Amino acid sequence: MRNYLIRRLLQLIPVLFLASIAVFAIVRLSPSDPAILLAGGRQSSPETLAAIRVKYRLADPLPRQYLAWAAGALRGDLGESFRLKQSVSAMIRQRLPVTLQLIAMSMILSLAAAVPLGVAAAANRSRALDRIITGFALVALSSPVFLTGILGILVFAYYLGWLPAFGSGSGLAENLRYLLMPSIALALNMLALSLRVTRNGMIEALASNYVQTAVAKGLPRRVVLLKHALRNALIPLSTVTGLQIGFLLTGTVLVEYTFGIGGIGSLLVNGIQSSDYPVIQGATLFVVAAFLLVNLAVDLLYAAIDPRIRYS
Amino acid sequence: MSAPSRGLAALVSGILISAIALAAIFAPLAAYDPEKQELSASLAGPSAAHPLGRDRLGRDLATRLAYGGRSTLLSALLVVGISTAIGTALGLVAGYLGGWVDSLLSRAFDVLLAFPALLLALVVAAAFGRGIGNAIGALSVVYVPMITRLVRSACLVERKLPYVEAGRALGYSGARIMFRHILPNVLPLLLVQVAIDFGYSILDLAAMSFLGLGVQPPASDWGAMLADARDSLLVAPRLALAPGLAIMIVVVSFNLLGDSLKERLERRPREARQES
Amino acid sequence: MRKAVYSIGLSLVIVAAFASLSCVKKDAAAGGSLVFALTGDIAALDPAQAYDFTTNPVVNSITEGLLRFSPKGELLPNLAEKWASPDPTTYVYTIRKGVKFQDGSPMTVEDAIFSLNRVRDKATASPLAWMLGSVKDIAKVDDSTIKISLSQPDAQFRYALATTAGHVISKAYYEAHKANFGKPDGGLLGTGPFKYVSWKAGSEIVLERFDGYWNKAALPDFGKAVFKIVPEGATRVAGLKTGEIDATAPFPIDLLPVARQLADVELQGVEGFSDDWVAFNTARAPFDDPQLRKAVIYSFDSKALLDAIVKDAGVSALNMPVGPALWTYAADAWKAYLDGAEKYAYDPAKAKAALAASKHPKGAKGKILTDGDSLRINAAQAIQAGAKSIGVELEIEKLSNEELTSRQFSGKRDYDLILGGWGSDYPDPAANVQPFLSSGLAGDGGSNFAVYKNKKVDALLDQQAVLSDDSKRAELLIQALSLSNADAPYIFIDHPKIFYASSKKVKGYVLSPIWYWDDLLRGVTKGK
Repeated sequence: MRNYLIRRLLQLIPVLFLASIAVFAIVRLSPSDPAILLAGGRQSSPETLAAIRVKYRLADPLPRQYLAWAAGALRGDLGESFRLKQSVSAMIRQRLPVTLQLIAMSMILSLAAAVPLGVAAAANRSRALDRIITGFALVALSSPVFLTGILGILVFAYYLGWLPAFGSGSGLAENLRYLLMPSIALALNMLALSLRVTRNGMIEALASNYVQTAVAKGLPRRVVLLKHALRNALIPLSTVTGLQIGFLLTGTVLVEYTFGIGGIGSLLVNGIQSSDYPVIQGATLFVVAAFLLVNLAVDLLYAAIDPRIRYS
Repeated sequence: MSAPSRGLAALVSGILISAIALAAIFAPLAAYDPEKQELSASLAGPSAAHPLGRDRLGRDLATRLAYGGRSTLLSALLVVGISTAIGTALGLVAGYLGGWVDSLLSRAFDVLLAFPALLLALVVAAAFGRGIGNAIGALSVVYVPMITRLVRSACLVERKLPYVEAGRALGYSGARIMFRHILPNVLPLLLVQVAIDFGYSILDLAAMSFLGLGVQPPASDWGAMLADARDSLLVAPRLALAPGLAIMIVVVSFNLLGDSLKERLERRPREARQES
Repeated sequence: MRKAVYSIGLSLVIVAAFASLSCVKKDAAAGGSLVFALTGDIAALDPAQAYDFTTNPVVNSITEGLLRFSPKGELLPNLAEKWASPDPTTYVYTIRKGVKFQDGSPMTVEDAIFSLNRVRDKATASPLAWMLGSVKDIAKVDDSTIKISLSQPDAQFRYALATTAGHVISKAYYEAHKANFGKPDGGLLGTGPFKYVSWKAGSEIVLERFDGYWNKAALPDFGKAVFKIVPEGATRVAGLKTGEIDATAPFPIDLLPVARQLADVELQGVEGFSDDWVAFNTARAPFDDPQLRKAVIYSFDSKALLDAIVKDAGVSALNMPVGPALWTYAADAWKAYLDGAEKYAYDPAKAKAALAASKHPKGAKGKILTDGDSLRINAAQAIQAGAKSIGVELEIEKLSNEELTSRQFSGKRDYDLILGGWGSDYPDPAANVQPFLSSGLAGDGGSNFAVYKNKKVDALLDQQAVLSDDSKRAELLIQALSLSNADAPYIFIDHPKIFYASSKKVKGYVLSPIWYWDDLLRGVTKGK
C-alpha cells in the first residue's frame, strides 16, 4: 500500500511538469501583451515598455523565463502577480477558503438532498414518486450552473430579497448567506449522480438476501431501509462524491464568475483575461495539482472502503 | 424507470429533439432577419408580431432564438463529431496495437485529463483568440480522451475474441481489422457516449459563450444570448429566460435519449450471449 | 409601458439593496469614517504606479503633487506654493515650508527631487514616465527651490506635476522599505490628509486621518477612510441606498436611472474629456482606402444608437475628438471649427456613393475588435449592421477589457477596425488630437490606433507642441484636425459623461473630468 502511494505520487511529477510547460507555453501564445497592461493600460513609449519587459523578465529567452519560474515554484514561490504586485501563493491562500467553503457547502447540500430523495425513490420504485424524483434529477443535471445562477439571482435576490445577489461576505456566518445560492446552483448539477447512485444501491440492497432476511424477521420497514439497505448503498456513494470534487473545481469557475465571488476560479478567469502570466501559471498549477491529488485520494478511499480492492 | 416510462421518455426526447432541430433547420423561414436592428424598438416587450419581444438593439428575440439554436446544435454536432472521430481512431490504435503507442497516448491523456476540462478550454481560447471555431476546437480536444478510453477498453476485449484471431490468420491488415471488424462491434457503446456527450457539449459550449469565448456578436447562440441578457436582467428577464430554457430542454432531451439507449444496450449483449 | 417596466426594475434593485446589505456588518466607527467603493483592487500603494481608476483615489489621499487641478482643470499650487517658467525650457518651483510627512518628518526639496527622478528612472518602470519625458535635468537651487530643465519646449509639461507623476514620497521611508514599498506590508508615506493603515487584498484599504496635515482647511471631518472593493454595480447602488457606502466613482451609466430615484443619493455628472471611437487601420488593406472608410462612416446611424443606448449619459461627438468640455482655451475657435466641419452624418446614399468611388466597389471584409462595455459592443453591432447594408462585411471579436487595451496599444496593429475609449489626462485639447494623429505614436505603446500617417499633420502637431501661446496652438491643432478629418481615419462616436455618486451627507467634492488626479477626500465633510 505504501509503495503504491509512493509510486502514484511519483507518477504525478512528470504530469505536473508537462502541465506546467503546457500552461507556460499556451499563455504566451495569446496576442495580448502584458507589458502594455503593466504600463497602466494607457499610452506609453517603446522605451517604457522595454523597461517594463526587463523589470518583469519578459525580455528573457523563454526557457530562462520558464526555469526561473519553475525553480521558484519548487520552493513554493509561484512568483508575483503582474497586476496586483502580490505573491501568487499568498493570493491563492487568501482566496482558497471561499472556494473550499463553496465546494463543501455544495457537497453537503447535494448529499442532503440526494440521499433522502434516493431512498424515497428506491422505496417507491416505479411508482409516481420515483418518476417525479428521477425526472427532477434529470432536469437538475441538465441545467447549466450559470442559468440556475441567473434565475436564482432574479428570484431570490431581486424578487424575494431573501439572499444577497453577488459577492461574498466576511466571516463564516456571513459567507454562509452569500454562498447559499451559488452552492445550490452547483449542488443541483451534482445531485443527479449522487441520487442515482443512492437509488440504485438501495434497490440492489433491497433485493439482496440479508435485507430480505431482515424483512422476514419482521423488522420495521424504516429500520430495514435506513439501517440495512442504506448503509450498503453508501459505499458507492462515497466514491462518486470523491470524484465529484474534481467536477466541482471546474464548476466553481463558472459559479464564481456568475456570482462575483473572489475565489480561485475568478482568480483564474481574471488572470486569463488580463494576461497576468504568474497568476495563470500559479493558479493553474495549483488547480491541476489539487485535481490530481483529489483523484488519488479517491482511489485510496475506494480501497479503504471496498475490501475487494488491494493496491500493491 | 419502468419499461413503459422508458419508452415514453425516449419518445418525448425524440419529439423534443426533432422539434428543436426543425426550428433550427427552418430558422431562415422566420419572418425577420436575426441581425436586423430597430434601435427605436430597443427592449420592446412581447406583441403579436414579436411573440418574445425585442432585444436591446431591437432585434426579434424569437428569430434570434431559432438561429441561436441552429448555431448551438451545429457546434455541438461538430464537437461530438470531431472528438468521436479522433477519439475512436486513437482508441482503436491504442487498444489494438498496445505497447509503446498505448503508453505514449496514455501519458499524453494523463496530462490532458489533469486539467479540468472547462479550464483547459478557457486557456486555449484565450491563447488562440475568440470565436466559435476555436471554442469548438478546444472542446473537441477536451472530449477526445473520454472517447479514446472507452474505445480502447472495448478494443482490448474484442482483440482477444476469436473473430479477430481469425482475421489475423487470414492476413488482414491491422487497419482493416480495426475499422472493418472491431469498430462495428464497439459502435453501440460509442453511440450511447455520443448521445450523452452531445448534451454535455451543449452545456460546455454555452458556458464558453457565456464567458465570452464562443460565438461572436451579432451572430448568436444560446449561451451568448444568456450572457448578453445579464445587462438587462432587471428590465427584461425574458431575454435570459428564453435561451436558458432552450438549453435546458435540449440537454434534458439528450440525456433522456442517452439513458434509454444505454438501457437498451445493457439488455442486448446479454441476449446476444445467450444466443451464441 | 416602458416606464412601468422601469419602475418594476427599480423596485427590484431596491429589494436587492436590502438583500445585499442586510448582512454587511455595521462599521464600528461608522460616525467617524467614510466608505468609498472602488470597482476593483488597487495596483500598488505607490504614486509611480498609480495610473488607473482604483489605485488613484487611494494613493491621492496619501501622497500629494507639487501642483493640483481645479475642477475646471486650472493649475493650482499644492506642495509647491508657487511656480514660474522664465523660459520655455525652464520651470522653477518653490516648495512649501512646514509640510510634514505622516511620520512627523519634514518634507524637503530632496524628497521632491527624489520622487520625480524615481518616476523617470527606467528601473521603476513607471507608466507615468512619459509625462516627464521631456525633462533633461532636475536641480536643487536652494532649500526651497527646484529647477526643472527640459530638453526642448513642451507645451504640456506644465500639467505633469499635478498628476501622480508629480507626487512626493518620503525618500527616507522609501529607502527603509525598498523591498516591499507599495505592497500591503510595506505601505506608503506621504504628506496627504490620510495615512496608510492596512490593505486587505481584494477586499479593502483602510486609511487614518493625519492630523498634522499642513492644510488644515482641507482636512476632512472624519477620522477614517475605508476604500471597499465592490466590483458589481448593482451592489454599489445597494450600498449607497442603505448608507453602507458613502461615495463611489466612476458610477456605471447602466444604473443611473436607478440611482436617480434614490432620495439620499446625490449624483454629480460632468462631460468627460474622453471619446468612444472607432479606428480604421489605415496601414493595411482594405481600410487603407479613405473612400471605403467614408462609406462605412456614412452607413452608421450613430444618432439612433446614442438615443437608444447612451441617452443622457453622454453627448454625440459629431465625429470630433475634442468635446466642448475640453475647449479649455480658444473655445470660440474650436466651436467655429466644429460647426463647419464635415461630420459624416448617417446618409445611406452618400455611403453607397463613397463605396462606388472606392477601390472596393463590390464591398470588402474586415474584423472589428472591441470589448463587452454596453455602449461599445452595441456600437460595434450597429456599425456592423450599417456596413453590411452597403456590402461591407465586418466580423466582430469581443475581447475582455484588458485584452482590448493590450491589442489597441500593441505595435503589431493586428486589426482592421478597433473600437475603444480614450480620455485625455490633461485639460488640454492637444491631448485628444496629437495622440490619435501623430505618426510617431503608431508604434508599440502608442495611441495612434488608426496608424494614421500624414507629414503635414505631423508638422503641425510638432509645431504646436513647443509653443507656449495657446491660441496659436489651437489654430495649428485645428488645421491638423481639419486635414485628418478629410482622410476619415476615425469615427468619434460620443463623449461619455463621468458620474460620482455619494450620500447627500457627503459634501465638499466637486467632480472634475480628470477626477482621478484629485484627492477625492480633500476638504470633504460628512457631518454627524
